Formats: sequence, C-alpha cells, structure tokens
Amino acid sequence: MEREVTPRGWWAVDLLCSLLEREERAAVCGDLVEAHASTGRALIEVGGLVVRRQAALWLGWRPWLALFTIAIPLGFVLSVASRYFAEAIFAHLWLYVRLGEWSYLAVPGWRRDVIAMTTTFLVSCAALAAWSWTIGFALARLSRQAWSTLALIALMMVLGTTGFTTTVPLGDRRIDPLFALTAGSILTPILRVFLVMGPAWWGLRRGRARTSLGSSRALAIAVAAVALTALVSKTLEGSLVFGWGLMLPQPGPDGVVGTADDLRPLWWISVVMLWPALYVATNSIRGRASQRSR
Amino acid sequence: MMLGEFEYLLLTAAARLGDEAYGAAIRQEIEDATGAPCSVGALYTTLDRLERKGFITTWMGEPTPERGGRQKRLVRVTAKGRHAASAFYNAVIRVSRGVAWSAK
Repeated sequence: MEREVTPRGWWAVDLLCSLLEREERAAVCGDLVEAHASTGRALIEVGGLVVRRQAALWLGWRPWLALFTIAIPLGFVLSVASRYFAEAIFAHLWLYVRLGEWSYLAVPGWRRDVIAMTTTFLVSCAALAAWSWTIGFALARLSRQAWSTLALIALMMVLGTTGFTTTVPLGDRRIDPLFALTAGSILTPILRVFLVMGPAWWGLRRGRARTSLGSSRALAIAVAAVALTALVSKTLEGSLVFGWGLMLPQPGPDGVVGTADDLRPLWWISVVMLWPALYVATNSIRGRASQRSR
Repeated sequence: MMLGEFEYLLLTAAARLGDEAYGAAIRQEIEDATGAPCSVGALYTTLDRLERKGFITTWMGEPTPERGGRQKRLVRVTAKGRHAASAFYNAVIRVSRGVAWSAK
C-alpha cells in the first residue's frame, strides 16, 4: 500500500495545486487524499493535470500575443534598462562621494548638478516602476489563466542578463573593483526587486482581479507612463546602444557622439514600452463601456 | 461524432456508480475494469470535454473528512450521454461480430 501524503509533502502538492482553479484544486486534492496517494504519486498526478491545463490555454491567441509582444521583448528591455539605470546612478553617487565635499553644495553650479542628477534618477526609477506595473497588468489581463507561465518567462528575461555588465566591465583593471562589484552585484538587484519585480507583481495582482481598474485611474496611469517615458527615452535608447551594444552609437551631422544632434535609430523602443500602458487604458475604457451597456 | 474509448469508459463508470459518481470513484472503477492506472489529468480533462458536449453534468458536493475536508466533483450522465454511450457500445458489438476474440 502506498504511503499516504504526509504533511511535509502536502505543502508541495498544495503549491502545485495552486496553479489549478479553486474548485478543481479541491476535487483533485480530495481525490488524492481519499486514494491515500504517496507524495511522489500526488505530485506526478497534479503535475500532469497542470501541464494539460496550461497547454490547453496556449491553444488561443491571447497568451501568444502576450508572450511575443510583452513578456519576451519588454522583459529583455527592462533587464537591460534596469541594469543601465542602476550603474548610471551608482557611477554618479560614486563620483559625488569620492570627489565631493559638503561645502561644494554652497556652489550654485554643483548644487544645480546635484538637483538635476537627483531628478533624473527619480524620474528613471519612476519610469521603471511604471513600465513594470503596466507590463504586469497587461500580462494578467491578456491571459488571466496563463499569467503564471507568462510571468515566469518575463522574470527569466529580466534576470537573464544577471552577471553581465553594461558600462562597468568586470575584470577591467582600470575600473575600481569595488565600484564594479557594487554597481553590478548590489545596486542592480536592489533596483530590480523594488522597481521592477515589486511593481510588476502588484500590476499582475491587479490585472488578475475581476474588478475593473476604473477609467480615470487607468488614464492617469497611462498618462504618467507616457510622460515618464518621454523624459527618459534617450536614456532608455542609450541602455541598448551604449549599455548592451546592440548597435554602434550613431553621431549626427557634427560627427560627435553624445551631442544633441545624434541619430536615434531606436526611438521606437519608447513607443513599444508604452504598449502595455495603452492596453491598460483601452481595457479599462472597454470594460466601463460594456458595464454601461448592460 | 462517435465517443472516444476513454470517454466511453468514463460515461459507463459514471452510469454504474449512479449517485456516487465522482472523480475518485470513477477513477477506481476505470482502473478496476482496465487493470491499468488512470491519470487524474486524463480524467478531469475528459470530464470537462464530456460536459462541454452535454453528455454529463457536474457539480461540487459537500466536503467530507475522508477527503481532508475537501469537496468532490459529482457527475451525472445526461440522456444525451446515455444515447452516445449506447451508440458506441452497439457499434463495438456490430464491428466485433464474427471476430475471434469477441467470443471470449
């Protein structure tokens, strides 16, 4: 006779069952308890059902749309952007700490630079959070049932560049090793947890909720995302050009990289990052319209 | 469209069990009849398919202590389901006429 599922093993079965609908979870887990199934047997049975259910979800078009327009591409951009932003923030902080003194704040130019940098950092962080929230919401709304698989894929894309650097090459002896280590190994994960994964999880939970977001709130989120994206669009493009090296920087007519007339072949990345925010707004408006028509 | 083999087994097991037809009991009936394990995944996805076709109705029953306080999914075969199962059975009988193993 097979060993009954022990309390220790049961949490693993319960965890796997959480991927099933509530009623099916009760029915399946109850059947396994009644059949005195062992932990291994229960995990295999539930796992098989979970795989069948997930596979059935992917017969429709919505999960594929979410996968190829949000989870994979935007997950990658978030990964590169978050690392680039973290390194840029840390580089400036490092300079201020190493070269600056408190007395410099009395100098108007230095003070203006500190305020400008602080504002840039805050706007960058807010943009990361806004993108992440709207991406989480859109993933969950586009495919309420396949959300877990989509979220996992997006998370893999975000973490996929862990260990790589953008502007801080490891092993380069000209770079202070403490700087390289801290920027890549400490600040980047902190940024990703609080400004990417946290907001994305919040957006996912909100997107999974049955209640509508409210059109005014949705529009406010969309407008905020558009404004923040407009403010950091050049930095976002820079993360992919300078940071990841997707293409060589392209100077403008003056032939100098880093000036205002530089070409911006990746300008469309900002538009792509806004697609989840626009989906949030249109989804909310459509939901409100259908409620009124009932 | 003709029932599938596993769909027939499930309908027949549910019809035999009557008011006691639910997931674990149907699974046990099928395993006893076939001598082969019946996976939970196959059972519940087939239940959904049969319900979509209108061959069965299902609903959640009361929780019981034997199931750790969890509800069971009860099954009832509809008239349409009985008709489909009967058609499958008659087709198997007709096609098996005169075949050596049908006499055993």
